Amino acid sequence: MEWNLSTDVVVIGAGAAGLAAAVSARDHGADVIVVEENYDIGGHAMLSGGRVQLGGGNAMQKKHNIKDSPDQVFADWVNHRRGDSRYNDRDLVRAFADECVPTFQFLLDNGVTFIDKPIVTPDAASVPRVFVTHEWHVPGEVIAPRRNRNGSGLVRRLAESARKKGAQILLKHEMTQIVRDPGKSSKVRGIVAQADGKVVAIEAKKGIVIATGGHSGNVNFRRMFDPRLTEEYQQAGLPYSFQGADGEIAAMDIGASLWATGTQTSEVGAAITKTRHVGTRWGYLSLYYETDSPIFHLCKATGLTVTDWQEAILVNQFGKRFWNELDSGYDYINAALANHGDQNKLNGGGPIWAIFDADAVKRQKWKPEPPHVDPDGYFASADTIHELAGRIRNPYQKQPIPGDVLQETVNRYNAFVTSGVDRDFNKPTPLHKIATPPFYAAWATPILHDSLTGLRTDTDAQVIDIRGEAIRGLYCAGESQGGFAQHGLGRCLVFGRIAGRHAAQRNS
Amino acid sequence: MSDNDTISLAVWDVPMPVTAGEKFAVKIGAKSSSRRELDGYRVAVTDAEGVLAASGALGQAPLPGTEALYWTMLEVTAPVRQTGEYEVRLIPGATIDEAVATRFSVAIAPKPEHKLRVTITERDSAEALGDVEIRLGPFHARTDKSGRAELQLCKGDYQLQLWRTAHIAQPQPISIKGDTSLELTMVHVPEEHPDARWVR
Repeated sequence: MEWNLSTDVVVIGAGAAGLAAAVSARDHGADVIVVEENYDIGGHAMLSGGRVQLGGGNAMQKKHNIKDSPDQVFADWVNHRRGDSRYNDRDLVRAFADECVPTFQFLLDNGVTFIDKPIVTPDAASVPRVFVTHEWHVPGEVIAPRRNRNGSGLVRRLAESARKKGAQILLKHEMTQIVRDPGKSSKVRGIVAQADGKVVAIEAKKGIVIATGGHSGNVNFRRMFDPRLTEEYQQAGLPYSFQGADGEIAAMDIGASLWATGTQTSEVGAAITKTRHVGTRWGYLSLYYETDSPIFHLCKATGLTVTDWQEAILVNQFGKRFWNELDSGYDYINAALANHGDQNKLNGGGPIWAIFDADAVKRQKWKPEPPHVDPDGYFASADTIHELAGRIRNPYQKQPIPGDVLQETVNRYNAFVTSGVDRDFNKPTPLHKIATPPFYAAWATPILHDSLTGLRTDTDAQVIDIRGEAIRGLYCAGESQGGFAQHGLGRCLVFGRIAGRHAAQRNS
Repeated sequence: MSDNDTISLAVWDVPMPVTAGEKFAVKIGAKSSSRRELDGYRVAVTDAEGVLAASGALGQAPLPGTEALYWTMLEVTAPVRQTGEYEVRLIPGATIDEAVATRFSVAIAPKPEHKLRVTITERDSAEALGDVEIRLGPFHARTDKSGRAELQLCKGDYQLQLWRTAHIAQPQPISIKGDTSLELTMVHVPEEHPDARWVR
């Protein structure tokens, strides 16, 4: 293999895990190259709320007199009573618990700043452990500005520190292969990347850290865990950060194993979510792209934020209601993903549309026009419900909604408003008729977020192969790592830091 | 109707409830998918037994805010049953053979004889709550900015329900025997931070 570049540690992905790995590897004396397929750093974490769960008795917990310990962190995240903790790999949780405090200090040492207020989370944590980073101070460098996307402050600070410490970050470099010597117990040698149509081979003398961010955007890959998740389900974080499973696939190509795959479908957390902003393709509940987002030309619409699902009904691809719209939990999700009668595509539930009228627009103070909605397939309006049905056209809507079916659905729902009783789905006291023209249809299909399973690693974040042996020199952290179904940044940062440190300390 | 032209209907501003045996007004619009001018075409409302309840001609100008929804207002006499179902259709004419019919329903109540004045505040802050949807059976109202609403309703026992985004109040039974004033509170339930939202 001829290498174009050579370094000690190659990190694939410049998100929370990758940047932590890069800084950590530099701190331990290794030369580091980070490859990032996007035009900018940050990955998914750039769009996150910046809520960092690193308890165990860290400096800010102490300041706020919050009693916590590594043992308590461990106990919480292996608690058999909770769905988000019972399936976790206890060895990984133990390593996480023991590394929370030093990782929090690592963030402080690398310039990350936090809002001085602990956050209580509704997950397995039994004490307040989450502190929120400050949003990055340069508005033009925040991808979703003014919407509490404080993760920008985390990744910008870590990238700044990584560069200062000498790590090289190569943007628009897409990893296409991890190179491993032949043989069962061989080590990895480097990676191949594509940059501007050219092949760049990078030697990694000590190690490679996969921090590519998960698999939720890869239809084929995600369907290994849940066959319902066909192509109509969009991925939160797009159109900025694509969770394409490229790290998992490259590692599996050289023998890597997945781990704790049941966590992906345990129906806890935000793996599949009800959309909150309708009429846009990207309606994830906490992610709202304002018009001055640097990627708004890709987003195309902000969406209309639904604060009350009394204002609309939700219909499937055949124009029929399928569940109580006020439900946002997995019962709703499962109903949305059910087969609604599509004989040509049995998996996936097809598009879901929010149907509402001019009165709802008035009450919700929506502006049902661009740039708030995307009429290019994700929003339609018409003077009558019958006409509206025919105007719903979308790449994932394989057949037109029959006008008479949608009209009957709305008429029936309006009769439920008259009687005050939803005899089909028991929506509590349906309040508003859908009657006043014009009428609207807005994309409201569930959207995917967390990758909760991924590659098997040991507690040093070394990737384990399908036979249970470590792949020498290969590491994984972040949402591509399996075994710990914790939402958010905490596990990404801890195992990124562990991976970078361990890789740097290897003999080349 | 040509092959590529579909005429469909909308019915709105149906009062809720309507008074048994009394007239109520509804608005009816028709839209041609090819945006033909439909002014002068007639629409008809028939009751559940198919008896003509009202008819009239569509007006000259489309409804503001629509592409080409020609509309009119018709008066219909409410029956004395609890609910009424109606069908609305376009009467075929020289150039229109048929249109897609639609239907609407009404809740029917005796003539309201009492007033219920409601004032709603937020329990902890005591601030007036506007935009609260109030329902007592078929009777409903929405509070103004000062948290006040007035309902005309008839004697009887009701379940009073309040609805407002990010606020809760338990439904409560109420017996209406005369003019009444109520001061009610709702509890503010801050919407969870979206990043903290957990679904099970």
